[in-house]
Amino acid sequence: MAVALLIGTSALAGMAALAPRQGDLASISLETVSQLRDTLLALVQQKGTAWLVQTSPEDVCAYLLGISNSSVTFSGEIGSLGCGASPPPGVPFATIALDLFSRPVVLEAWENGQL
Amino acid sequence: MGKRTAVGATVASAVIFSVLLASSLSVYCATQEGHRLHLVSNAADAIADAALAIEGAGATNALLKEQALLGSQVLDCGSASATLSEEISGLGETQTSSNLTVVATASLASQGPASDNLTMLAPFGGYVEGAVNTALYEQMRGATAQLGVYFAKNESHYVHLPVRMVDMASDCSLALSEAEEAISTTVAPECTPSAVSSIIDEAVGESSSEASSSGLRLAVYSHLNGTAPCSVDVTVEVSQPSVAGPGGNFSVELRGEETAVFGS
Repeated sequence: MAVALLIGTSALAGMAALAPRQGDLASISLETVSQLRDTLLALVQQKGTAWLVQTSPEDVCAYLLGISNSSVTFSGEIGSLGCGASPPPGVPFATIALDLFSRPVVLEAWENGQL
Repeated sequence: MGKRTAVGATVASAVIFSVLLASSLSVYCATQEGHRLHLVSNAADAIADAALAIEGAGATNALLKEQALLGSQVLDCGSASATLSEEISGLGETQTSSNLTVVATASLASQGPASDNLTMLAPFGGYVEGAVNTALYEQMRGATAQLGVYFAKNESHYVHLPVRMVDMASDCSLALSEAEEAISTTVAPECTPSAVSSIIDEAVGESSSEASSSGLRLAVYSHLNGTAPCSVDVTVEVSQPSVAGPGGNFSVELRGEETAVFGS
């Protein structure tokens, strides 16, 4: 009986340890980052690189804050001006960097409520 | 009998749980492999996205450098195209990120597609007849070695600055030849600055008006070089003010010079 109990307990413990939950969570996180990166690229493609060069850093920041919503938060660093909050620790986020001749631009996005 | 049943139950449970454990292990291995593939796919996607951003930045940088070049010098009417061709060839650049290198080479384009697939370059993407067109050849190489992801892509892009270089060079050459012809066919004029200026203004008047109506500025200056025989230095300047470039508005100027002798 004790042997049967030992085998059963060991097997159940093994099955619990092999549960694929962690891998699933990591995959969901990667999927989120990929979607956020696509969102950032779409933003750059829609506004254009000339817009990023010609618009004042303050106006670019205002735009990023303006399009942030309850689902996604955008932030960035336009030249030497940083705007918006940094992603909360542990939250998956995406970054796009454009090393423009006159102004390096870094754009970030993350989903709100993702922890 | 009871002992035999207990042993049987133990063996049966051992077999059942072993099968369950083996099943869990195979599911776990499959999930891990799925996760690894997801990581690989995401790494490939990340490099491709980074490459797209660097491609766009590289093309924009080439345009910005061209704009700076064009706005900071006066090109010669007759050799503007050759000078631009040489200068644009030197505008290539190499951009690197943590796992990606993009080498871009540039050349003055004489033909190309009217649109470009890098929409972020709008409104400067694509080839436009008569404008300053640049062909960019970008070689991208990247890797996330620990995942075995290697990225290689070569692409050509066409971009332009809305500078009416062909019209400007043509107007400049035409005005210069009109002035030269008027001088060479006028025999024994009054060799004074005002008389010479009047002859030249009349000769290029129509070209000047046409340039002006099409948004260009054409000006002709003359300077007496000698009175016996009456010779004159003629300078024609054609400019396109307020060109909307990727770095803001700028102006472009071409200049042509000629020395002509009256009645020659």
